[in-house]
Amino acid sequence: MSAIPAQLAPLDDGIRQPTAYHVRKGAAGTAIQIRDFKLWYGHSQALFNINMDIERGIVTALIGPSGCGKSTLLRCFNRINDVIDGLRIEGSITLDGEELFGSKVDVISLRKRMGMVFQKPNPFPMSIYENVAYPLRIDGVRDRRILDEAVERALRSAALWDEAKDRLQDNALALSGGQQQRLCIARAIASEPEVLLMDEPCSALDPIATQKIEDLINKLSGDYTIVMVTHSMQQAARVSVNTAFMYLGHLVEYGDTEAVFTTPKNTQTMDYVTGRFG
Amino acid sequence: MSTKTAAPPVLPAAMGKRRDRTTRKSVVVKDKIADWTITIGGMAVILAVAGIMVFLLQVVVPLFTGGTVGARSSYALPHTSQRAVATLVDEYKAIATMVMADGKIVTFHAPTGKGLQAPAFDFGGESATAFGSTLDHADVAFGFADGSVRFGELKMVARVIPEVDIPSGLTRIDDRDSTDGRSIYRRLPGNQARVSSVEVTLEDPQNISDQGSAIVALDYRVSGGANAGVKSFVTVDAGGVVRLTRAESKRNMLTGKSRTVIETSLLPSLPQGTQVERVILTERADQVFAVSGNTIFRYDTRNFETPVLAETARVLPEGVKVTAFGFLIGEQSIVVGGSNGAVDVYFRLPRPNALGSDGYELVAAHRLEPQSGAVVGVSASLRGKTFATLDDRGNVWLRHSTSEQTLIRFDRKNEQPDTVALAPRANGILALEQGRAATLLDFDVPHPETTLATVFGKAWYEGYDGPTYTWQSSSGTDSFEPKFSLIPLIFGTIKATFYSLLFAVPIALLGAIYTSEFLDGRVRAVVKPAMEMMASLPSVVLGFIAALILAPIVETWIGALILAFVLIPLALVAGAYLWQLLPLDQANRLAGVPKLGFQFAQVAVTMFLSYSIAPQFETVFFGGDFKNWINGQSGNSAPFLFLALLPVSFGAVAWIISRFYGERIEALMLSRDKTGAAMLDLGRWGVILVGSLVLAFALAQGLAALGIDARGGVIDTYVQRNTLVVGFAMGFAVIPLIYTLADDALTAVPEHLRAASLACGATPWQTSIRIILPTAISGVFAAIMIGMGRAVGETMIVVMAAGNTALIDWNLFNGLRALSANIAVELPEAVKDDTLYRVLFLAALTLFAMTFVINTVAEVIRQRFRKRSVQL
Ligand SMILES: Nc1ncnc2c1ncn2[C@@H]1O[C@H](COP(=O)(O)OP(=O)(O)O)[C@@H](O)[C@H]1O
Ligand SMILES: [Mg+2]
Repeated sequence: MSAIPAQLAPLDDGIRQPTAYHVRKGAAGTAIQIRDFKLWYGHSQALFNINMDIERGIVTALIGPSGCGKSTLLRCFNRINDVIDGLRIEGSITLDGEELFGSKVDVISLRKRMGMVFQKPNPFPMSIYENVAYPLRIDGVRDRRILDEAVERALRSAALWDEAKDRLQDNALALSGGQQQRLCIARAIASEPEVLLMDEPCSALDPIATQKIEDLINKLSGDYTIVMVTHSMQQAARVSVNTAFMYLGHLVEYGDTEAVFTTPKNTQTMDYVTGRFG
Repeated sequence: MSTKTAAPPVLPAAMGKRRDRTTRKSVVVKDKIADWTITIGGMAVILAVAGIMVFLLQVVVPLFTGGTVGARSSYALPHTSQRAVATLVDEYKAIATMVMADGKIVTFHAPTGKGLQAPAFDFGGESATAFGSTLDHADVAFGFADGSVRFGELKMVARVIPEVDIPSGLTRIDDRDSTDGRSIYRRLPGNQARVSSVEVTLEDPQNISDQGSAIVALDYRVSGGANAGVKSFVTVDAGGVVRLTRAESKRNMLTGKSRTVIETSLLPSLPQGTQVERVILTERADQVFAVSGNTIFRYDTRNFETPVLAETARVLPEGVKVTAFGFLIGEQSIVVGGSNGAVDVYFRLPRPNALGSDGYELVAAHRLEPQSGAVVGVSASLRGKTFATLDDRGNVWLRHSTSEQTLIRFDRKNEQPDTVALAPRANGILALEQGRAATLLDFDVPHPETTLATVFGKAWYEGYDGPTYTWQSSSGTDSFEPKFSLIPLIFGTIKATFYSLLFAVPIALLGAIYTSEFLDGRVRAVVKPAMEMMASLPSVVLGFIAALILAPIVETWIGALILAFVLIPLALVAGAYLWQLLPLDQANRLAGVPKLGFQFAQVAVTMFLSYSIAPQFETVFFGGDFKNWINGQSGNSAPFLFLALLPVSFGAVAWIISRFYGERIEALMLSRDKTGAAMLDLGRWGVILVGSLVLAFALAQGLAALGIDARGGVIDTYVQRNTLVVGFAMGFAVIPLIYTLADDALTAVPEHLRAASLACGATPWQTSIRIILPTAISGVFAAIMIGMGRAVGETMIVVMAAGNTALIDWNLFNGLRALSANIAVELPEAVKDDTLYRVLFLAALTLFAMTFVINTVAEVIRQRFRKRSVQL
C-alpha cells in the first residue's frame, strides 16, 4: 500500500478530492494494532476476532450499519468503556506497541494520549475558555500564560478562534451545535494527544457545520492519527484514507478507502456501499 | 417462534369500510370523569392545606387581639359623703362591697347595684385614719387616730347548693340572680345555684404607736397556715415613725392552745419632714416601701432586728407626686402611678453598682402608656400581671405589665372618680364615683400577656436582669408568670438543624458522590435502597437509641470520639498517599473490593487506636478529663486551640507550598517515574503536615497567651443529652434523605459529560468535583434544603435526645428545645383555648412557615435545575 497515485480516480459521488496528506499514507507505520480482539457486554458478544492495524497520521474511518460495534471498538482505544459493568475482553490492542489492557497500564495517562470527540456535542456547562483549558487544568496547570496559549492554539486548530475569541468567558452552551462540536474538538486536542477518536462527530449537525468539521479533520490529519466512526459513506469517502467496514461485530473488510468503495472484496461490503443493504 | 400466534387484529380499514373517526361517547365520558376527578382531587388537596392554615391562624389570632368589651351597667348607690377605703368585686361579679372609713360596709348586687344588707365593722364610733389589706382584700387592717390598729377579715363567700335547697320567697333581681336580702343566688347549669355573700370579723384593737400618735399609713400581710400564721404589718404614724410588727401565732401541739408572739421593729427614721403617704410591705415582711412625694424609701428588713433604709429612689420628676402605688401579684412588681399620669412598673433587682446598700435597686422595668390625668387608683388582678388604673378624670385603663399593652380604655368624661376594683379574674371593672354612682364593665381579655413583641421579641419578666427571650410555660407556684418567647425554640430548631447538617451534609454528599461516580452499578443497586430503607427508620426509635444508648456512650468516650474525628481523616489521607506507592499492576489488581476492605480496616484500626489512646489524649490536651476541662475546671486552652487551628493552618501551609513551590514540584514529579512521583507527593504531604502542626502549635500558644479561651461559645459545659448527640441521631434521619436525592441529582448529570471528562484524562474524582458536582449543584442544594426541612420539622429525636432546655446558646455540648419538640411535649398539658394552647399553635404555624419557606426554596431551585439539565 505504499504506492499512492497522486491523482485519485473520482468516486461515484464525485465529491472526493485528494489531499496532501494522502501522500503520507502508510509512511509513519502503525499506531494502533488490534489482534484477535473479542468483547462481551455481559453474555452477549459485541466484537468478534478483530484484527486491524491503524496507521499513524492518517484518517481511518469505521463504517457499518448501526449496532455493528463501531463505537464499541472505538471506545476500547481509550478504555472509556471500562466503567461499564460486566464488560469483558479477550485479545490485545496496542498503542505504539504498548498493551492497552495490561495490568501495568495507567488508564488516566493513557486517556491523556487520546482525544475523543463524541456523536453529540458535549461541552461542559462552563465557559468556552474553561472547556478548552480543562485537560490542562486537570493536569494541575495553573499558569495563566500557558493556559491562554494552549486555549488559543487549540481553538485556532479547531477553526473556532475567530468566532470565539471575543466571547471566551461566555457559557459554551450558548454556541451553536456546529460550534459546540468544534469546541469539543478543540478540547480534545488542547493537551496535544497522539490519537483523535471521533464517534460520528457530524451526525448531529447540519450540512454546513458538517462541511466545516470535515475540513477541520482534513486539516488535522497528519498531525494526529484520527479514527473516525461515521455512518455516512460519503463522509468516509471524503475524509478518510483507510476504511474499515464492520458488520455484526465482525471486521468484514479493511483497506484503502478507495478500494473499499470501488472494488470491495466482500459482497456484504458491496451491498452496503452501494446502498443495497438489507 | 410459535406458530400458534394469534392473527393481528384486523383494522376496520382493512375490512374495506371507512373508519369512523368520531371519538366514541364512552371515551368522552371517561375523559370528562377523569378530568373532574383529578380537578376535584387537586382542589381538595389545596383546600385541605389552606384549611389547615386558616385553622391555625384562627387559633392564633386571638393572642394578638386585645379584648372584647361586654355589658356595661351604671347605677346609683345610696349617697354618702365618705370615700370608700376599699372596694371589692367577687370572683363571679355577683356581689360588690365598699368599706367605709367608719367601718360601715355597703354591699350590693354588682350588675344592678341593688343594695344588700351587710354586717359592718364596729369601730365604736371611731373612724379609721389608715387602711391596709392583703392583695386579695380578705384580711384587712384599720389604723386609728389614737395609734391603735384593728384587724379583721372581709370574706367574699361563695358556695354551690342544689336547686332544691334554694329557699323560697327570694326577690328576683334580674334574669339570673335573686336575693334573700343578704346573699345573691345565681342559677347555674345542672340544677344548682351559687350563693354569694359577704362575711366580716373584727379583732380587738392593738396599740401600736406610743404617745397615741395617729396612724397615717398602714399595710398588712398574712402568711403561713392556720396553725402557724404570721401577721405582719407596717404602720406609719403622724410623727413619721415607721414600725414593722410581726405577730406569730404558735399552736402548742399538746395543749392545743395557741400563743401569739408579737415583735415590733422600729425602722430607721426618714429624713426630717418626710410625710409618708403610702406604705406597703411584702408577705415575708422582708421589704417595706414607703412613699412620700416622688420618692420611694425602701427598707431592707430581712434582718428583723436591724432593719436598714436600703434605698431612696426618686421615681418621678421633681414636683410630681406618686398618687397610686401597689404590688402586682407575686409582689415582685411595684406599680407607680404619678400625678402626671405616668404608670411605671418597678422591679427590685440586684445590680453590680446598685443604689441600694443591700446590692439591690429599684429599676423601672416597664414604662406604660401614660394616662391624661393623675393616676388615683390601681387595682391588680389576682391572676397574672394585669391591672387597672384610674385617673382623676374617671378614665379606667386595663393594662398588662409585661407586655406593656393597654388592653382596654374605658374613657369617661367629667366624673369624680373614687376607687376602682378589678374583678379577681380580670374580666370586669367596678368604677366608683364620689357621691356613689357606680359602673360595672364586663370584658374578656383572654391573652393579655401576648403581643408580637413578647412572643417574637424580648420581654422583661420579673426577677430578670433585663429583657430576655425566655420560654417557660409552667411552674409550681401560683404567682408564676408564664413566659412565651418563641425565639429560644426557633433558635433550638436552628441549632439542632445546623449541627446535624454540619455532620450530615459532608457524609451524605461524599456518600452520594461515591455511589454515583465510583461504585460498581451492581453494588449501588443494593446500597441505595438500603440507604433509603434507613430513611424510613422511625425517628422515635432513633431518638430512643440516641437518648438511652448513644448519649451515655458519647459521654463516656468523648475524648476518643474527638480523637477519632482527627485521626480517621488523617489516616485515610495517609493511606491514599501510601497507595500511590504501590506498583501499578498491584494497584490495578487490588483496586476493587480489596481496596475497599483496606479502607474499612484502616477506619477500624484508627477507631481502635483512638479508643486505646484516648486517656493519654485527654491527659495531654484536656488536663486529664474532657468534661472537667470543658466546664472550665481544669487545663488550659492552648491544646484545644491547637486542635481547632489544625485544619486552618493545614490549609494555609498547603496553599503557601502550592503557591510558591507548586510548579517546581509538578515539574519534578513529571520528570520522575510513577513511584518516584508518588514518593515526592507523599513527601510534600508530610512537609505540609509537619508545617501545619508547627504553625497550629505556635498560633495556639500565641492565642492562649493573649487570653483567648476556646471554651465558652461553641464549646462549653457538658450536658449528657446534648446537641452533639442530636446531631448524630438526626444525621441518621437526614443523611439517607440528602444522600438519595443528591445521588439522584448526580446520576442525572448526562452520561456524555462524564464521558467527556474521563476522555480528557480526568480521574473519576476530578470528574466528580469539577464537572458532575457543579453541574448537579442546584439538585444537590435542593437535596440539602429538603434535608434541612426534615431536620427543622423533626420531632421525636429532639424530644428524646436534646434535653429540652430552652436556651439560646451555641454550645455544642449543651441541650436545646426545638419548636417541634416543644409542641409535642407541652400540647398534652395545654388547656384548650388558653394562652399556652394558642402559643403552641403559633409555634406550629412558625414551624410550618419555616419548613414551607425551606421546601419552596428547594423546589424552586430544583425546577431551575431541571430546566438546566434539559438544556444539556
Ligand atoms: N453499554 C452496553 N451494554 C450492553 N450492550 C451494549 C452496550 N453498548 C452497546 N451495546 C451493544 O453492542 C452492540 C454494538 O453497539 P455499538 O458499538 O454502540 O454500535 P454502533 O456500531 O452503532 O456504534 C449493539 O448490539 C449494542 O446493543
Ligand atoms: Mg455508535
